Amino acid sequence: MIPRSAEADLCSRVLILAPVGRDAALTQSLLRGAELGSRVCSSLGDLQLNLAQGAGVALVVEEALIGQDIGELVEWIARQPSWSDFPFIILLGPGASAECGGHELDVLQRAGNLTLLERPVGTATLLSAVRAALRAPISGP
Amino acid sequence: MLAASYGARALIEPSNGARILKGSDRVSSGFAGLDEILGGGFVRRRLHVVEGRPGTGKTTLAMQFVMAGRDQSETVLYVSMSETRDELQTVANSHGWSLEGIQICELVPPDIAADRNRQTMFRSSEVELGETIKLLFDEIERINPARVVIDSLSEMRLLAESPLRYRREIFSLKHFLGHREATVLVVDDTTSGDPDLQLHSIVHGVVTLEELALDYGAERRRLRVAKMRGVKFRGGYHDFAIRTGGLEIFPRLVASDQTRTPPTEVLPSGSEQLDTLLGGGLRRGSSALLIGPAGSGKSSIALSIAYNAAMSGKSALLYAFDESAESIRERAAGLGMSIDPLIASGKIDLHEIDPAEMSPGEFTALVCRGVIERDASVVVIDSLNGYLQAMPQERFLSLEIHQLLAYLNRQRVLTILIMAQHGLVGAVESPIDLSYLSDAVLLLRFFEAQGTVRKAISVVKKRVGTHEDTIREFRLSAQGLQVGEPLSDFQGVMSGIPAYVGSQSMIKSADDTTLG
Repeated sequence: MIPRSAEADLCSRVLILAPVGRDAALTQSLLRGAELGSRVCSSLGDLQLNLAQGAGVALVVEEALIGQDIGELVEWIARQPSWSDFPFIILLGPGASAECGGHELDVLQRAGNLTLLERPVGTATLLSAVRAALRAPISGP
Repeated sequence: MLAASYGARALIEPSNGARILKGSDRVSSGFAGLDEILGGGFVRRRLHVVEGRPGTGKTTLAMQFVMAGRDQSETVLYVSMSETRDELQTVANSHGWSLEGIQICELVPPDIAADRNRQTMFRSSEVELGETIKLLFDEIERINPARVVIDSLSEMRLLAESPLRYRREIFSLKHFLGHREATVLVVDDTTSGDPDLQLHSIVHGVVTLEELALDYGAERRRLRVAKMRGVKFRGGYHDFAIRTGGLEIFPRLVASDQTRTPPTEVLPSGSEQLDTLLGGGLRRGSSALLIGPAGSGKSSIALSIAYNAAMSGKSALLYAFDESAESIRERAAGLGMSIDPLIASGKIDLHEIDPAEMSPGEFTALVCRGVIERDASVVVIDSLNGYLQAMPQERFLSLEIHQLLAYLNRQRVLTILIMAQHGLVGAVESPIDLSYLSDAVLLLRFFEAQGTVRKAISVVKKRVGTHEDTIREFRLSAQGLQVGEPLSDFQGVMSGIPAYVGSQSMIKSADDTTLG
């Protein structure tokens, strides 16, 4: 059991980047119901700022990456210690497949630890993916 | 569950046992016809489904149901999931209704309502369904209505995604309502074609609306009660029509529902010889079929009987499928019968029926209403051929006619059915055999003798009492019906190719004009 210090909270929090409609709010309320701390990010830049402050996993919808400059994000991933392997959960658009995910996804996939989930996603599926992602860094050194 | 959660409810319906529900447990549907079919109306505090394909009249029926409640000063709620208030108002305007006093709740799922409410993350069954149900429950709780319409469940089915989830929601709806005073109609689109039997098994009653497109003429609409727990209802299909002002429902006639009074009185035909041929005349409370080729005098005989009844102060109803009222009046004048004053005084009630526009059920309802309103002694259906055209499935024609005749017999009405046979002379045939349904059958034929075309009449069947076995010559003139002496010197008159075997003289006429 990790002590519930402010730093530990910061390192286990879920960053949500989902700019459409109620997506972010609903996701946050789901995570809150499962007693998982989270923070909604308003843009890719905001996500990077929050990543720098500390997080356990990032939940990002595909649309928030497509056509964006992800160079800084890739650099941030490269700067992480080798044991960290920071997890991203990418939520693909309805009916999408990994092949048509776009150039940005390819780049990100090579750079980091990506899990792809197709929307609409079941609440149980999303929660289990988030929990699994949060476990990985904890099991590190 | 994400947004709305509603506590688990016991999935056991409050049992009403096997008792038949009493009148006080019923809520008028807003239609006399449907109330009759349901044996009093919908069942109070229960969930009913009105289902049908798009355009069958479900929303119209549901709106009339809430308006009927409103008219009794009940609090009523119309929950519209697929149509906006404006669209409902348009429907109401087209019928000349006011929606005042009806609480309308537009329950458009949040996903569709506004862009900022959209969500792309989760399944609608996990987000919007719960939210929609919660909105619905909150609204019902707030308004506490006596009648609720939910239009339609199809939206709910879309949100639920899986049949299992959908069924659970309907259960939760039913049990939420089970604790309230509301009588509920839910509207369900059977777009897929098959009725939702899952839904049928949950709800208390099911009314199915159908529309049949005919090859020619207006579409036929019919309604069936597919289920009604603990209630004796009238089964089978009942015709209905959608008119300006709403649905008109015509319950299928079940003659045994009516009380019987024994027939006695004989109605004269206007020709003593014809009455002699008929063994005294045709009785009230029986039916007679007049068959023969076109122009052989069937309609004139029927008209003469109706005229004589009306002249003696009784009332007669004429339903003309083939002829216009104008031509019937001319025909009557040609036979020396002035029916215009009788039509004016209501003793003769003449209806022109367009078989392309009227369903058999509506016709039956029209006749029954006419008989009651006018206290009629004679009903003439001219002709069955026209009526036949009104039946999209003619294999049931004889059953429909049987019910109608049984009903009219019990109402002490003499029913005269006219059927034109194909062909003029020689071998003629009937489009359908109905002779076994009627109590008396009069056969008319053309024959040729001494260089002229003449008419013959014979009674081939009479269930009660005696009749002559002879064939007589028959003629129509300005003096009315004339029936001559038995044609004993001819052979083969009924075949239309008679052979003369004697020296008998034909009817002498004052003038040489004959009327058809």
